[in-house]
Amino acid sequence: MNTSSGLDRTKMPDCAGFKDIRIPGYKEFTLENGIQVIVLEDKRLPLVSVRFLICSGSIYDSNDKSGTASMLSELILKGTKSRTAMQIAEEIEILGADLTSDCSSDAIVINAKSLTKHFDKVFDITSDTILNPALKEEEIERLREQRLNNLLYYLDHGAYIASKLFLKNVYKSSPYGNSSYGNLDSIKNLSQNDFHTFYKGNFTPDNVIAAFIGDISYEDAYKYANEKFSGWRTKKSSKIKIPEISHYPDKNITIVNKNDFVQSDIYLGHISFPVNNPDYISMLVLNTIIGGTFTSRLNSRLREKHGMTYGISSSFNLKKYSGDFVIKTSVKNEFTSEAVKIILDELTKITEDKVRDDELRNAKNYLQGTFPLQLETSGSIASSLLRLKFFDLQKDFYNTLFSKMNVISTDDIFNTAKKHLNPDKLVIAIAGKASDITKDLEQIGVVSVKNKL
Amino acid sequence: MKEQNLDEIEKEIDLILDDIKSGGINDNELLKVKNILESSHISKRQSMNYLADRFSFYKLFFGDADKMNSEVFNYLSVGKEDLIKVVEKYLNKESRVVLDYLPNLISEN
Repeated sequence: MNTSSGLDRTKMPDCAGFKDIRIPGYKEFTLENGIQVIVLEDKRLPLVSVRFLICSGSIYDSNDKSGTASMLSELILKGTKSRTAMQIAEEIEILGADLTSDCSSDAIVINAKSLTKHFDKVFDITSDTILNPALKEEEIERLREQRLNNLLYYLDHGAYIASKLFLKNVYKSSPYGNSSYGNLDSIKNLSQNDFHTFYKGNFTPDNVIAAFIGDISYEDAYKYANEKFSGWRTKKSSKIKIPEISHYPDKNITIVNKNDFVQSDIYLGHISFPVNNPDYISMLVLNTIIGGTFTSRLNSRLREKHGMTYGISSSFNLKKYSGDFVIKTSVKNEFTSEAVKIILDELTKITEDKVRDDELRNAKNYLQGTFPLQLETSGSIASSLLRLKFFDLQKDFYNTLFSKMNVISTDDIFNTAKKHLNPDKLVIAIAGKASDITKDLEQIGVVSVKNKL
Repeated sequence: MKEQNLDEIEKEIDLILDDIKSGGINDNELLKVKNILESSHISKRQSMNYLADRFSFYKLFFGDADKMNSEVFNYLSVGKEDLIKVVEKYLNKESRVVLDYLPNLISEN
């Protein structure tokens, strides 16, 4: 179809390919106490971001205490020995700055951003929260109540239930199977002492990587880091080693029954590998073809061809010591088993036949075209550089990403699919109405039904 | 929610506007808002998409894309008296529509 502008909308536009990414040179230093620091000076705008990575996340929560790391990451910003939660919030707000924290299974992040002229004060507050958190009872109670309320709300949502069920069934006894956010029982029972213990064991200089990005020189970053953190002396981090999971759990289908659900939320996948593995880049490309974009095989078939869902996506969630591959979607009750069969069929196909040349080219173009947009902000550059260090990736990882991706062939993708996808060992986790969906799902495999997560 | 409550809410809103009109904005408050605006406008310039959007905005509505460059200074030069003028001119009772939306009460009646 030709439009008035002469464009043929039935054909995908050609793409001439992309130039390599060049991350500007950054410098590094390590303080005597072990804190590693990355500095990337970028004077285009009068902004500075600083990001602290505490290399311990919820996988280090003790048994029955899931949620400790994640709640601690919030608690850190809710008061220090000399500032109340309100004072921190007010001081940051009046400077127009941002101070946020986050927690994943692998790490806690504390992130601050401000105009250059206010950075001095913002860095003072940020370092205070890391070095001298008050961990006050009243703030713990406030966060606990908020979290319990949120959990009650989440527990009515199919996607939340299916995702937690999936993690549990795929990672089994590994701490990666626990919920980062915590669960009702664990959150009810967390004590002030639990937060102190986690803080003491993990907020230690040898366990911290920091990145200063933006309108700041190497010398100034060194001065800031040295001034606030060189006197920080603690015991080494007491992290225990997380065992890598190498076995696949057997294929299983589990439903958490929700009688009032009219749609099924489906999480389906299996164990994968840590980030630092030789196939990482071809796994990215492979995933893009299967379910990484709107034009992926899964979305084209389930959404565009069959009209069964608004969307379906897949991802390799690769972490520090392990990883998983997951496909997620939601469909009406009556489409549940059919959707699972189609997904199985697509996974089988991609492990039995090579992908087409144009599919491979489009996937590479998509990844290379969108990648630079992830490096626009000082905060996202900081987290990208911290990723390199945290996952022990090569220093030139980003700079060589495109050229390494460009030489990946359809044979490579075929080998990656055979190695990294295993349709026979899928863990299938569904939140839905069991009486409507169980019988048909039994054609695929043995189904177990639970009444709660 | 009962009707009385809505009246009370409206009164509270009026109190806040009256306070601004009578010069009740303190320096720190104004400084805070300007700091937030300055910081967020500069931060957003990290995004190509934002730049394209703002350049076309200034070209379309002000006829000059270069006005983008004075955007932050314009915010910073706003004074208390400007805010009072805006409240008097736009946020007054004469140019106001108040809509109480009470879907439950209507269906119950």
